[in-house]
Amino acid sequence: MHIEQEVLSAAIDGDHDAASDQVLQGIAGQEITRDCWARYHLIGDVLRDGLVDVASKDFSQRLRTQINDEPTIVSPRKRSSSYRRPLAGLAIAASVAAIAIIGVGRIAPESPTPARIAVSPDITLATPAQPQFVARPEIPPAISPAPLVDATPALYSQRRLNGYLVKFNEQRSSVGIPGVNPYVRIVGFETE
Amino acid sequence: MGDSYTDKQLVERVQQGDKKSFDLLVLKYQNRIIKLVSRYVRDQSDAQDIAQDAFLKAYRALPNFRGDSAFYTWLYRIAINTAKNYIVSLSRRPAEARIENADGEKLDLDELQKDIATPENVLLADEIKQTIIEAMNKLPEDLRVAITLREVDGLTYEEIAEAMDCPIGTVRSRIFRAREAVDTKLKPLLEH
Repeated sequence: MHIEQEVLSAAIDGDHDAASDQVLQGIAGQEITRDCWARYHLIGDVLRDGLVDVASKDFSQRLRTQINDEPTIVSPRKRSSSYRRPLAGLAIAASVAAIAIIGVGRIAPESPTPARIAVSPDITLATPAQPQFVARPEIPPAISPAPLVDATPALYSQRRLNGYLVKFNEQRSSVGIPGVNPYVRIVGFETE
Repeated sequence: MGDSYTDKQLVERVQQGDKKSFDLLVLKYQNRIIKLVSRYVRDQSDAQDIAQDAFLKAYRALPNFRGDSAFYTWLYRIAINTAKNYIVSLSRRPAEARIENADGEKLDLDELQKDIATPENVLLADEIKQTIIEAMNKLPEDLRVAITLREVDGLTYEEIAEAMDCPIGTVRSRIFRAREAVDTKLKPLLEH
């Protein structure tokens, strides 16, 4: 691509029309325009700073050779640390499970009525993309969830909300929404 | 409008794998970076080596450059750090390379030998500066004012158009003609 020097001059000054992809590609691709680009910048450097240090003639050539030996870089992408995330998830899940076991064990004897953990029956703890390993405390028969069909409308709504919150917390980590940690089950107490 | 727009365009092209665009950034900033490094390292050849190293580091780090600051600001910091690291590495050199003067001050033999800019470099830098200043003085006033407002005062085309009371297209043309006139005198000097 032939680049007129006036366009090159305008590209140097950041003119949006001149500094287009095509023009910059054309400038970079030809030795004549590259040299002109360098000289125009040198003029600016001298006018601005009264420059006294000038790059040697082979400075850019040597650097070009070195850059050509470097691997071509690609546009930055978000790093998803695919192997670390599940491990971190497992560690968090194990910690939370341990806390839940200790916490429930300590609270239950002091309670005047048996504690009951409200768990939505339609909870699925892991999607196929997430680790399947979830340490969970054994649920005593007394706290097994009642079927939804038998619940009152208020209880039904509460269980659905619980289920929604659990699912939200399971899935939010994969889309980057802040919230409580994944794999944490929502635990509440109801008095009978 | 500003030359940072052109930098942004070039950086994006490099991040997409276009090594030639990095060459334009090198040609644009090589003199400024060498001048900067020369504040820390007196030897010209060392300054050029450090500047090369800084550019290479910048290229390798470019995938992580998000454009939060201007490219030159970012490059400037890399160059400063590279120069400082070089000075630190010098201080770790073996004692044999050093002598003490009458006052007990440590002197580095290599540094003493290198602390002389080559006469060719000094002469070339002086000639470049002289040539550009003479060519500028011979420019018609409208061209000289236009390029001075752009290069020395850093005004945009829009601001220059307002200051000189002329269309932007005229500003663009005047700046180009000024550069071309100076370049006509400068080019033979750099080709020899």
